Amino acid sequence: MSKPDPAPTRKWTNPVMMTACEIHCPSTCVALGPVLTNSDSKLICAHGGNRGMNLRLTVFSGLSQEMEATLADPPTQIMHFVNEKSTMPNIAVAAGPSVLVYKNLKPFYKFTVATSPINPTEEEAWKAVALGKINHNTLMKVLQKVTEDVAFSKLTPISQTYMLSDKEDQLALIEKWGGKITNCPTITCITKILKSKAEGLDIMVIATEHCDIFFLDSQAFTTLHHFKLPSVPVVIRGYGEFDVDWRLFVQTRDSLIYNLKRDTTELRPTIICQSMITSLILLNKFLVYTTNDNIITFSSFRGKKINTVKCTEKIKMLEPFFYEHKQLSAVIAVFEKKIRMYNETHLLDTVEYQKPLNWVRYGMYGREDSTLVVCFKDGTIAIQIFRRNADFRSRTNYNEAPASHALKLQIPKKTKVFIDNTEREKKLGVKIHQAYQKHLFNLRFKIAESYQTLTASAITTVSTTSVLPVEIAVDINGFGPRHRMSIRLLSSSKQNLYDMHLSMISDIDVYEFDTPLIPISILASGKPYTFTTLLRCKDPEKSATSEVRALLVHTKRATPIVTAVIKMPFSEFALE
Amino acid sequence: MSLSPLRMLQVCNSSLWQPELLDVSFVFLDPSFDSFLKMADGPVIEFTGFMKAFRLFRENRLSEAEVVCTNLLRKNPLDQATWALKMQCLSDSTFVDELDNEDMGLAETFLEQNVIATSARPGTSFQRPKTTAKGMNPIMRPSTNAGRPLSGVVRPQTSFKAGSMDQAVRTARTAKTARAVSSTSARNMRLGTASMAAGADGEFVNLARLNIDKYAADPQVNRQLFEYVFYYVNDIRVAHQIAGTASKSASFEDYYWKNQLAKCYLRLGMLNDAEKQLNSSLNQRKLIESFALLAKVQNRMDQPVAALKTYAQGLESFNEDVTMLTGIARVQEALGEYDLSVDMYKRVLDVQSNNIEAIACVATTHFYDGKPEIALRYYRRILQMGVSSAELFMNIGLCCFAAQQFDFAVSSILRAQSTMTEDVAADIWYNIGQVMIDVGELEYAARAYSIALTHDPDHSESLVNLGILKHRDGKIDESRAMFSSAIAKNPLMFEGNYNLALVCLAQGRYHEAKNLIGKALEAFPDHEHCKRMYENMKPLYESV
Repeated sequence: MSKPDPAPTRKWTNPVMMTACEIHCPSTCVALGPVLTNSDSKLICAHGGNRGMNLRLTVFSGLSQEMEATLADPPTQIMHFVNEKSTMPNIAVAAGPSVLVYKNLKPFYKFTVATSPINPTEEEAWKAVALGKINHNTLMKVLQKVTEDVAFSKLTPISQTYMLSDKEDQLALIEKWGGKITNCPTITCITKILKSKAEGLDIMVIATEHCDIFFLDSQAFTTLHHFKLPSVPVVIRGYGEFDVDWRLFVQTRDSLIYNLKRDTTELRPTIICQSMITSLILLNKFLVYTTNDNIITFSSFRGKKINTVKCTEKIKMLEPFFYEHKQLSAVIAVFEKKIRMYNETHLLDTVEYQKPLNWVRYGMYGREDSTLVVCFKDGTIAIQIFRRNADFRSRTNYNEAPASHALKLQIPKKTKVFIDNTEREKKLGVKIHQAYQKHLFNLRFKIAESYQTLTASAITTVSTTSVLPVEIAVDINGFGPRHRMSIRLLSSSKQNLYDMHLSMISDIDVYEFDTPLIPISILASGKPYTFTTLLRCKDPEKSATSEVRALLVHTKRATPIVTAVIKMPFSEFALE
Repeated sequence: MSLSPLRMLQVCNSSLWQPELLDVSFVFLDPSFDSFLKMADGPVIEFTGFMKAFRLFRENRLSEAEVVCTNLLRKNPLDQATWALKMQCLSDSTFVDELDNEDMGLAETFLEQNVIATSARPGTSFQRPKTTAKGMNPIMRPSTNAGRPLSGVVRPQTSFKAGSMDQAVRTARTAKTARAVSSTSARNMRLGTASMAAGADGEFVNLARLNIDKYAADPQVNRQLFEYVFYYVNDIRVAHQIAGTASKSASFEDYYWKNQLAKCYLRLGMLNDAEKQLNSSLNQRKLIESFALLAKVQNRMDQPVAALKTYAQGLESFNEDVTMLTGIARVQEALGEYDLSVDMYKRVLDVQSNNIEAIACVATTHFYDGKPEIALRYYRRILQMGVSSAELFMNIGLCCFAAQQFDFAVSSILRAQSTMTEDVAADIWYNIGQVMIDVGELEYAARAYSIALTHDPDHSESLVNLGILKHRDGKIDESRAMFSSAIAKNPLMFEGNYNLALVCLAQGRYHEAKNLIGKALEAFPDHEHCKRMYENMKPLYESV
């Protein structure tokens, strides 16, 4: 007997935990790649630290930390790239307006984006405040004045920070930047494009707050190409080779996606998204993006929607997955405590975790080329390898519903009668409604009228007056000629009722009562009372039946309180 | 809470009660003479004497014919022809088609000696219909007071043998639901006694002094005498004596007398003897009446499968006969096999497209099967045939309402309300109440139910639904009282028992609730909610 092994259904190896690493950085500040020439691929993280303290660039190898370098500015994004075949690979750290290039974790080069002209009023004000001509409050007022003319985002980054800071920070800013105010835009994101397959070198692409996108030669840092977008790019993804043909997908802060080519002159977004885009990746020939309404969208490069996945919880980020040996590709969607792998048609895999996730990164780590590095919120890291025997043959549909939901409703066929009726309704809708309302009113009137007659004549079994709410029920037992009549009375009035009589009325030729008048001294509220009398059918051979009435009467009331009308059953003959 | 469902009104099938064509054995007149007289332009010829009586009888003016006969007999009491004609007149005036006379008294129901299998397999007995049959669901299709599912037409029918005799005797008796003690008791007697007092000369034939052997052997008068005794005097014992003597004198070769003997045995509850006579009659000559009577006997013996077989044999001899087809349809309907029943009724309609019973039953089944538009077409067909009654308008209104043709619905209901007779008033007001609930006018619904209850204080469905409305208003005690009086009037009712059980459960009266749920499950064994409540309550009992 072979035991069914659940292992092959799992696509990833058991996670190996790295608990002491304390990684607290966003997913953009993580890169996988070798640090020295021809060495293993390492995990490189740039820590933003806390309030300017503890800014570090750390490198992990295997399950331990290998190297560490200090950073000067908080990093926005880091990138591993190659700019020379012969020497060591580089790490680019985007921080503020500069890109810092590290080789073997040693600072190698610093590239700063060219400054733009500063608003003259703003510049003058800063100079004045540095010389002590105006105080910080006046500077604030001047800057506010300037924002009335130009957009807030068009001010220098220092001024923007200044306007949003409290007094102490404002003073610190004046002291630090007072005389040398510049307008170097902050870098929002960086990426790389292969120059050509033959050379194997990378072209660096950077995007700035001033809506510029620069293609930089990674050796000389000269601008090879330049775009100016109408809004601020926040994510850029490159595709292709710079020397042959390339695409650059740019997601801007206002949830537009541009598709840029070398010969693009007219800037028009290919995707305009109604909700906020939270993550964008490239997967083969697809653009995959998520929005804050928990939808993952697969779209072609031209912006045509291929498919959408509606998720039940928030998607933290997307990560591309490509397994070269089997040509498997998927997108890894990261949720609060699980990851899911999708392709454009199916859900391929789900992995659950015990702890909330921060980010994942897929790529080569050490010598394993398909490793998933999972970082948890608590700063620990798990490393999993895609199994060699795993595949995506077992796949399920997106948002798999329970089997009961798949049951088809039996919708009856449209009959001719139905269609005729529908046609009639379409044609005469108003008239039908009017007729219905009219008849309904008449019916209600009829009911009210009949009910009113009942109330007036007090022939109801339930008393309709609110003063004396008494209910009567009568049962007849026996086959005849003698019958037993039981009368049950239930009063639901608040007070006890006194001095009433139960009177039995019938055709005197047909029936004879033992006690035609039953005195009722008290009816306590809510208590059922039963009274019994015998009655005899005088002449069963006539087989005549008539009605018998039981009236509850009060000495001081003209009309009976309640009445029960009993249609008597046919009487049998006497036995003798 | 379980609301009682809409009740389609049962259409009164007038054709059921029409007398059979009379079998007059002696013909004095050439029928063509009649037309000759009419064609002649001469003075109107006045008939006198026996001829006048006979012509009046032929024109179905029975009471006038009887008066003429009486006068003739005063002059000549020994005139046998007149004597026979008077008997014929009297028996025709109280004639009931014996095939449709199915009233069973309490004694027949509970003191049954002809029960063959006390615990029959499901589907082979009226007492145990197949539980899988779709019809046995009182929520989908309401039942009559006798516990049978509601059918399309009023028809005398057998009842479920629910509970014990003790319980049946204790149940409150009402004009509509009360069953006679036995079929030979007062209720059947009244047919005979109704006009007896009117005769000035006292009883027409003094049976005690009649030489039965002499007249029963005389083939000229014995049939009239038998019918007079059987239908008019309703003295089954003497009728049996006449039939026996007549059969003997015909040397047991007359199928007519065998059938009459079977009718007597049937009335006397001697079902096995009746079956023997009918089988013998059928060996002699195959007649529709014999097949129908045999099937009726088998139904009385609670052997629906045998009855179906008899009907099938009848169909072999009489291809596509309406009586046989209707019989099969009725048995299948009583067994809850609605599809088969409707198929049969459709066959009836192929043969006789104006058969009201078939149209009404097909319509009712369609209505409760969720196809009100189709039911509507059938009811309209009845209307086209010239039948116009409050029941029919109410049914059309309900069908329109269920099919969402609101403009016709309410107007038909209004018409039914304005033309209704007292015997259907309660049902009509009840249905108005149901429509008001569907429209959302709960206040008006409660009023309509109250009106229904004044027309018929025993209308248990109205009591239940009014109880639910009271319960909704928070008047728990009142609703309890209504449910319990509904049960008192109709102990077989599912909704009353179930709703009262729910109220009891909410009040913590578990013992009462358990008993009530037991009763509700008897009425509706497949009710999932009841079963679950029963299961939930079991541990409470076992733990005590």
